[in-house]
Amino acid sequence: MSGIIAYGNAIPRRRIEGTAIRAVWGNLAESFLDMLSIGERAVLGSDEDTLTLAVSAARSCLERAGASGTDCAKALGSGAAKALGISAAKALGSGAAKALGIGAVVLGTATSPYASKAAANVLKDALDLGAEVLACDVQCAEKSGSTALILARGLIESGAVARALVVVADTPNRHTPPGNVTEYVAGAGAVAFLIGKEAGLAEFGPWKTHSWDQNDYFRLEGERFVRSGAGFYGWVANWGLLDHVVPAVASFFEATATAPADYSKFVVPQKTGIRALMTMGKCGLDMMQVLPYVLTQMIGDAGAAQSFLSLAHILDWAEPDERIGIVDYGSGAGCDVWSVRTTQALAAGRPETDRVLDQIDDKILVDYAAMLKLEQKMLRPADQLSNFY
Amino acid sequence: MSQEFPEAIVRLDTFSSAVWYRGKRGRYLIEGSKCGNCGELFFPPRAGLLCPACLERKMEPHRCAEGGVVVAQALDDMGFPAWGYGDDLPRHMVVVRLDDNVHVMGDVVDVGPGEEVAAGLRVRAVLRKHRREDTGAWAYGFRFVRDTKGEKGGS
Repeated sequence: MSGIIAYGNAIPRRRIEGTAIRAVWGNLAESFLDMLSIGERAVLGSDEDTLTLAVSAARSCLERAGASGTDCAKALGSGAAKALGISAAKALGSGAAKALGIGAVVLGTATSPYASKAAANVLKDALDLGAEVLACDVQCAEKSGSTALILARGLIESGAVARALVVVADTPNRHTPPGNVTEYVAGAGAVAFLIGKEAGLAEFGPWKTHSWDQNDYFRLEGERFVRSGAGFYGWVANWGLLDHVVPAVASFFEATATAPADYSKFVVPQKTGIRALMTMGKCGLDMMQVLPYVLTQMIGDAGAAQSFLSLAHILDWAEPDERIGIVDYGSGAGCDVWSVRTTQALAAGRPETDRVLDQIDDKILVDYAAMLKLEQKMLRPADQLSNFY
Repeated sequence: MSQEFPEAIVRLDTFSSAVWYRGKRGRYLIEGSKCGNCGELFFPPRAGLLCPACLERKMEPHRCAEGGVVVAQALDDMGFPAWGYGDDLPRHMVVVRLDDNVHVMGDVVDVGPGEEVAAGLRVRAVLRKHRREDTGAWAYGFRFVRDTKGEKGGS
């Protein structure tokens, strides 16, 4: 058994409207904005990246779990910690890790700032979790998060570690070229889950996966920008989606002896609104199980973090004892399907501030030129790249 | 266009990777020093053990609070930016009194149009990219954003 003890989320404050992108490029018929659920999408600040979002989400998660590592003497103990009976951690140094028994930090992302260095180590140091804690990155396209979570659950359920911090952060917006149609939806975000052996706020159910090699969207080694494969160049390709989602969901229902009606809510792939509808239709899900929890029209597609933001949004509002299904699809990575069942602790343990919708509401709209500058997409001469100019 | 990120690389010999590495805990965690005898707090951390307040030699690391209140601010909007901050203008430079009464200098970022940064503003520390090391690696450190916890939306 394992479950979510606490969670935290982070979304960049800046947003750009789809209409502002269309005004510059004109590469999408106006009617498509509605059809693809294009509204606004998150824009990174020039000092933000996958790691800064991951740290924000993880700090919020640890704080909600009752462990702020700072030495500032104040009574700590959030709702989640109290509901679960976790004593507040006020120890020096690596107090948070020790008090919560965190043995592993797994960062799931497809857009790590480093090609070879473990970004999870920066994350771990920024949380002061201690050198003895296992830190690793999991890169598995847009399902990096689900895969990281499944691996971390393995560590917990096998007894290797008592608790693990799974952080999912992604910044597709920095890796989408200007003029590409995915520019309308490429956003960013991060979610952190502190998971452990107890059921916590939501207990994990079984998982199933389905994958094979398929060139859907990908980046080659050393490349910054994502390419869409399969000849759909520049278009929002949904080529691999149903190939993996449909069999994965079918095998999940079969293995768990459940049906769509047994789940109150479903998190589905949502790069654009079309993907949510395709998944809904082909998997026999009901509109009300799916559509209220699709966030793409408000923040775009946060890549690996999108389905986790959707799940965090559900946990912000769900009732105890609800069964929630998660269908997470990654381009060229396949599909993971898993579920959680909310517990009685959720009512008292859920956050009251900085919920997903609070962060979505707190925004600064920027125009297209500002977005290009902030996301480092402007061509600049070499002499400006040093500071002696 | 270039496949590289066109972000500035600091070309100052003094900012070597070793210096960035040694200052890591200060930048990531706002870790300063605390006198084990009189409890006086310092940020940045003191290089020696001697406490200038009580003259005791019992200095130990201390992680400062991550929240605080702006006590002084200056808007750098002169069009003549300091090195390494050319992409983040105008720049709100502030002195923040953290919740354990340590004063630190920093920047308030993610300030929207019409939002004022002034003394009394409640802020919290976040980790952001400061610049690059001379090798090109990212150097992360704390900056401040408005603390909206407990408030819904806006300031």
